[in-house]
Amino acid sequence: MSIRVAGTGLTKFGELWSNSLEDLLREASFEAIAESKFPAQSIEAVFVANMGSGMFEGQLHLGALVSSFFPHLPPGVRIEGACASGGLALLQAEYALLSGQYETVLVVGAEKMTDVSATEGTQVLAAASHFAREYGSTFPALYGLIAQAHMEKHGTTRQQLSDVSAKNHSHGRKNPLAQFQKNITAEEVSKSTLIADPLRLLDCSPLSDGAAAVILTTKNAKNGVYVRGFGHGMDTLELAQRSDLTTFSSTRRAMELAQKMSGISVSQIEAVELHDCFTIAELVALEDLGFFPPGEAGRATSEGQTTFGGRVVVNPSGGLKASGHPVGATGVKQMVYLSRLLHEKTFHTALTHNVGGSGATAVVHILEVA
Amino acid sequence: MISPAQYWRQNKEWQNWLGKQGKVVGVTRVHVAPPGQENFAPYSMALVDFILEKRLFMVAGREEVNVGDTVECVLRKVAQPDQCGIIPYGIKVRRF
Repeated sequence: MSIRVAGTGLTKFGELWSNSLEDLLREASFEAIAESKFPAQSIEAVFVANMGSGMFEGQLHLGALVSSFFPHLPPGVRIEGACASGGLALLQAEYALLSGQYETVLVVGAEKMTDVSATEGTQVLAAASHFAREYGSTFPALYGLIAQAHMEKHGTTRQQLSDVSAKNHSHGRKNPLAQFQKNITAEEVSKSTLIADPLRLLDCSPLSDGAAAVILTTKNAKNGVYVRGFGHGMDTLELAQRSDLTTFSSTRRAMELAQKMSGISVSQIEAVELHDCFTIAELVALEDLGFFPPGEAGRATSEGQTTFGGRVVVNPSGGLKASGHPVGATGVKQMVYLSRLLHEKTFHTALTHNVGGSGATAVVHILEVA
Repeated sequence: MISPAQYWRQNKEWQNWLGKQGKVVGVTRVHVAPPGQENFAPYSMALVDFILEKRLFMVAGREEVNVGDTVECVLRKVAQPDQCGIIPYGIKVRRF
């Protein structure tokens, strides 16, 4: 049984004052349904990805909220796994399809983050780390420790981190739905405000509003984008329990499973949407996914190996950095963006990589156009 | 924010940590602090190897520590008092 991406929906990402969480969920869902050309009543179940609506807006029970969009009230469930909520919701939908319970389902991810202050937003995100045992730390601080370990072990440089951000902004400039559609230079990144040593403001992805949706079906068609493989891996929730901070066992495990299921190896992948919540996260991911040997991703980035014309196009949407990071939407958005590029035949084989917290959860999907 | 019940549960752990020494294996300087810690910034977060386990702790005051330094656990204020009225204390480390 194979799973096809039958339709995609994606809202603008950014500070969207005029759109509520419900508006965003509705817009992405119905765009995906319209694109699939399936009647709305053919949606047999809905899987909603969201991290913090209970803390951001006091709204929970999102499975029922989205189900209520449809007169036939399909079964709805909400899935939370910090910033990997989107990837995890896709997985739950895929398991349900493969079980034979449903033939066509909706997966929609959304987050409304800008109704609260940046400080309150940071506090909600910090709930994805170990509250008591990592007290006083922030996400930039945890990734700052990872960056320092990577610099010390592999000689990764400030310039290489800055090059990641500049590259993702140059990609985001071509994405009309991206939060930031402007170029920034590596020098601007290197001179931006220090957040948690060595990470600076322009190493960090922003707080964003936005939603993304896909219709997944086991009803096959001659042409289309297919989910060839997926995998789910874990690392410890607490950074201090890891023996090596420069690698995520979650990503390595998820990639191993996705490759095995798809029969597609890393050398065949032409484009990747990966989880660059911080610049260092992109380098760690490229190494853990197997695109470059440990310690080589920084140099490869500076040499232009991760953009158009290089070894693999990394984050053509602009990634989390330039495209924005409404956390519940991100994992779904990665699949939407790549599906559209595959549909246009810009690429034939692509991969998504979605991470929760400081690497505790990772989800990998491998997509191919038939 | 730490609730009174969370605070009460954490208190019981203090005696296991006070005076304990370990070696710094990673450190980052936090310039933008979370709510409750703004008045401490900039402060350091140190990943400390206590041989039997590693833990991440705030560094006391504005002291800067480096990888390889030996640090000891001390009791310090870890956040500004919140609306519950608690003055939250907890374990931090300082250079030994």
